[in-house]
Amino acid sequence: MQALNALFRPEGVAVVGASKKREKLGNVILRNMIKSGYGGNVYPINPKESEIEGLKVYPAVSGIGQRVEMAVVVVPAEKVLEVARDCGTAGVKSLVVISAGFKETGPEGMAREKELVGICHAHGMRLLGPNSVGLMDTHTPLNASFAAGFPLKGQIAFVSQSGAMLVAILDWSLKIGIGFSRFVSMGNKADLNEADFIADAAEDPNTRVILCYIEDVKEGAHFLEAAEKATRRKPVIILKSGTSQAGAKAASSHTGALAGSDLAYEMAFKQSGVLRVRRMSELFDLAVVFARQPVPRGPRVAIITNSGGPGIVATDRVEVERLEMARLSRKTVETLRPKLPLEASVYNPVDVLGDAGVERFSFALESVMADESVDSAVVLLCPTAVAEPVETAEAIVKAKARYPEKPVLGVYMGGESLASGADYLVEHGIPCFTFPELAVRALGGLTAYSRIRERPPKEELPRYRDVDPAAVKRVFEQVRAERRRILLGSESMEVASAYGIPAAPMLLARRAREAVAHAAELGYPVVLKVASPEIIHKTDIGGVKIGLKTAEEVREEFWEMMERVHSHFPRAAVYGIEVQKMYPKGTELIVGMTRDLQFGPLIAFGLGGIYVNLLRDTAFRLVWGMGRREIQAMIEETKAYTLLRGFRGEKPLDIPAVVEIIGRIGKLVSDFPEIVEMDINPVFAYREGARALDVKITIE
Amino acid sequence: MANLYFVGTAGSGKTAVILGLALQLKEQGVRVGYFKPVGIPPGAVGTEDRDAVLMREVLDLNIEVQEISPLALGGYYISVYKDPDRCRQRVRESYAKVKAATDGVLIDGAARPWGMAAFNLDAVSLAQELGAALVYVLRPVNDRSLDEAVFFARCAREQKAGFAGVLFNNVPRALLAKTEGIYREILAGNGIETLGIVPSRPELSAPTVAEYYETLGGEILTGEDRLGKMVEDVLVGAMTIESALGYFRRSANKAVVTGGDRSEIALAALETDTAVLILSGGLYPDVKVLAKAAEKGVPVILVHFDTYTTVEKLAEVSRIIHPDDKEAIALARENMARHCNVDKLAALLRD
Repeated sequence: MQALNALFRPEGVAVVGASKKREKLGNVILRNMIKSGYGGNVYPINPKESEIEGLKVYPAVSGIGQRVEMAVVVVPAEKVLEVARDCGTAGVKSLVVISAGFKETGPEGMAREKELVGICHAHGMRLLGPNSVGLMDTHTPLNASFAAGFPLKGQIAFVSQSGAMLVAILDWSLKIGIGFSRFVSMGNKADLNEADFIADAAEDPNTRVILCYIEDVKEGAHFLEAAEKATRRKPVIILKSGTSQAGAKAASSHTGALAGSDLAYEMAFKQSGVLRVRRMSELFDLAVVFARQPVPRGPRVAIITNSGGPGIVATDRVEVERLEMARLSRKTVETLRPKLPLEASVYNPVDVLGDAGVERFSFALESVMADESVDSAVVLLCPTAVAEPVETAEAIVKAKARYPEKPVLGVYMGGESLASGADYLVEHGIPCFTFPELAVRALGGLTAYSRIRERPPKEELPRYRDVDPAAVKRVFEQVRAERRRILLGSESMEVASAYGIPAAPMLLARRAREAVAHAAELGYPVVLKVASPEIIHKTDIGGVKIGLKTAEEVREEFWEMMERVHSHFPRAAVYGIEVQKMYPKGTELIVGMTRDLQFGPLIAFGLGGIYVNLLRDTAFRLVWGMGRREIQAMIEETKAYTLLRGFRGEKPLDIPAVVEIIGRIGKLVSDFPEIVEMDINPVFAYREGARALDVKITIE
Repeated sequence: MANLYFVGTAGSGKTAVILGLALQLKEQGVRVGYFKPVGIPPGAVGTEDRDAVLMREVLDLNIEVQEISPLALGGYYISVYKDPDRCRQRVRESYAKVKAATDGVLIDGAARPWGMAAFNLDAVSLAQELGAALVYVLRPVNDRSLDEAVFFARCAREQKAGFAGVLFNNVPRALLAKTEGIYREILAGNGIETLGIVPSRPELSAPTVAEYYETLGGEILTGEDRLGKMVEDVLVGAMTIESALGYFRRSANKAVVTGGDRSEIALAALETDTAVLILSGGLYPDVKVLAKAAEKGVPVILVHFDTYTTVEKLAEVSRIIHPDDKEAIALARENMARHCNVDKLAALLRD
């Protein structure tokens, strides 16, 4: 039983706001319902009519007296609430609200939308929209939309935040002959959103591939869980717009929600196994490939071509797409050599030469497909005088049929003379491209999914029992009482220590003699740091002094530092000077955290020190699903890892200690959602252990 | 019976000090009067001196506001009043009315201690004339703030005016320890008594959105019912989206000034603790921004100045305590009771 059966396979559908006038949406939807071949009863609702399009009209849903699971609502916005209440009373399970005039129109619409959601919740109804084009299912079949046309039956589910995108794709798909299982226009996503539709499509036996176009994710945690589960069963391919500065601004205006950072989206997709694409063309190239070809067992590609140049271009792309050129077995090479001309290449890419007809292509492809070291194949054909595009296409289809587990893609590089061959391929389920890059890109997507599907199970944060949340709470209460948002260094250190992060002890001194006393307590040498939440880059203004060895030095530096800081920030609130025990220099690392609006805490790890902004050696992970394995993987993505492992004969450093720090930060920021930003810069990594030297925490 | 004359610069919180003290004295059965010889000229909205209105109501004074605050220090006061003698005469007459039927008068200084010095109506001259002891109300910002008080005390003494001491008010938390430990000592070394050290309480000193609106004018696009929110900080939104959230998160109860066309900045501000969104340049925002603001209960003010001018104007805004603001009034009283030498001040008044 699927969660959204009442939406995709409803028993009885009412069209509220059905109209006699053919140009009205209320009529278009009704006709679409009738034309779709929907097997259940359709009830037009209109208090002023008795019959529309040959169907009996009812004044209200509650007056039907039959089981109605779904209502499509296309009345003016101000009447929607009343309709929704009536539907709720009549036992309707799902509401598709086509009407506009909600959140997208301003505060009044926003209030109306909230009320609508409230009504739906109260009656246990799920809501699609408002401001939606509607939905379709080709297998039910059902067309509860005002789109022109109905898609061909297929196995691709397309979920779109943009209604216009949906109708455009529908029209395009009819021209090129791609079928879909479902089309959903999410509208304002007041209730049901991408997470619900991904989860449901994952359960849908008629769907093999899930495509989404989104501008934002509404519920980060729900999305991550749904996508993580779905991607283990079938590919989820997402195009998310608003990735550039200007694009994000446009998306914010469009959705009325602040676009979360693109980095967080990138990590959310990566960690939940979503294939992210950046272009609309890519979205559909991948969809077609996934719908028609199997997922390969591995990354090894064989290329068969009748021309050198395109073969090289394709080979170049193989690496970029994280694929490998298959190394053909000796047996394959020996099979190929005697039957191909001397100047042909029998290694991958296999070049059957420009004078090749169908025989050479067919023979080469069959031999390569039989090879155990080949996971997928691309056939490149250029329109030479002797080329036989249609016959070659037939040969490809035949070879493919014999090896159903290995994907094969065609690249017919040309136009006019290759058209019928290319058409034959497409008609027989072999995706065909005009240029090699796109084919390899699509194959890259397929192969990436094989890695995704076989990934190890999702991890949880490591468990730590030796943490002291009460101590953290005490510090936060103190900070809040002072109406601050940024913790002083000494407070941050206390918080870190409470969670078992090895922080260098630090004490706040308001006067020089206090600083001297603290230094004596901690032991020389010490470091002095200015304590002011308003000063972010302390080093730049002389707010940090290391290696002070005597009381005299501490006393003098106390006043000098105050003076320097004051000259840079005359109005900054300076709480005093923090005294910290000095630790030997280790390899400098940075661990940071920012809390993303949609996806929660996002951890950054990288090389530290003053070149941090220059080298930009940083890797990221959402704390969601970040166990020790993911932390290790994140560290391995950076150049810092090369240093940690021991660069050029240096002894390796304590990587597990660094993993531990990151894990504990994850725990801290999960336990305390009020921590919105946290930075440890630097963390010193040693051959044994690691230490947090400077911690910054901002709370909300 | 002596009087107390409270002086200090704008924003030092003189009125809150006087209010708190007056309530204390009233409880002790002292009949207190309030007088503000040199008031604030009528602004864009109000026509009477707000402090005078407040004190009149709180102390049940049966005198016209124009008598409580006879003069107003505008930028062109010399052209308006022309005759110094007549001005002084008016002050004397009004003061006589205020003083009648009181045990002592708390006198409130002009926005600056030297105001109307050209007419010999500055705080020192008036203190002498009205027989009042001067209390310097000082809001410390840094070490230089101390100079203000020391210099003023010297000035008062040289003119043989009574000088009671310094009252630190609105002291930022970061400076509390220093005020108690160092500033007090330095003042003592200069023969100046510290009459109190009152920590900053944003509930009392932070202006509300209403006060920002009064200064800026413009149009309230949403949140008319939320104008009572406090504003503790002003931030300008002119950064990239990626940096905006981090920047806004570091500050609480803030006013965010940004262009009406910067939906993404406005939305970032609305995701954080924002008291008011001020959209500059006269650009109407996207309706979705207004919807979000309404949902979050954040007022949005549209102004026609550019961002720089808007921020400049905001710098002039200060908190006004309204007579019906019971909480602020109670807090002012409590603040004085807890952090000031009320007995000493009361004694000065009785002397």
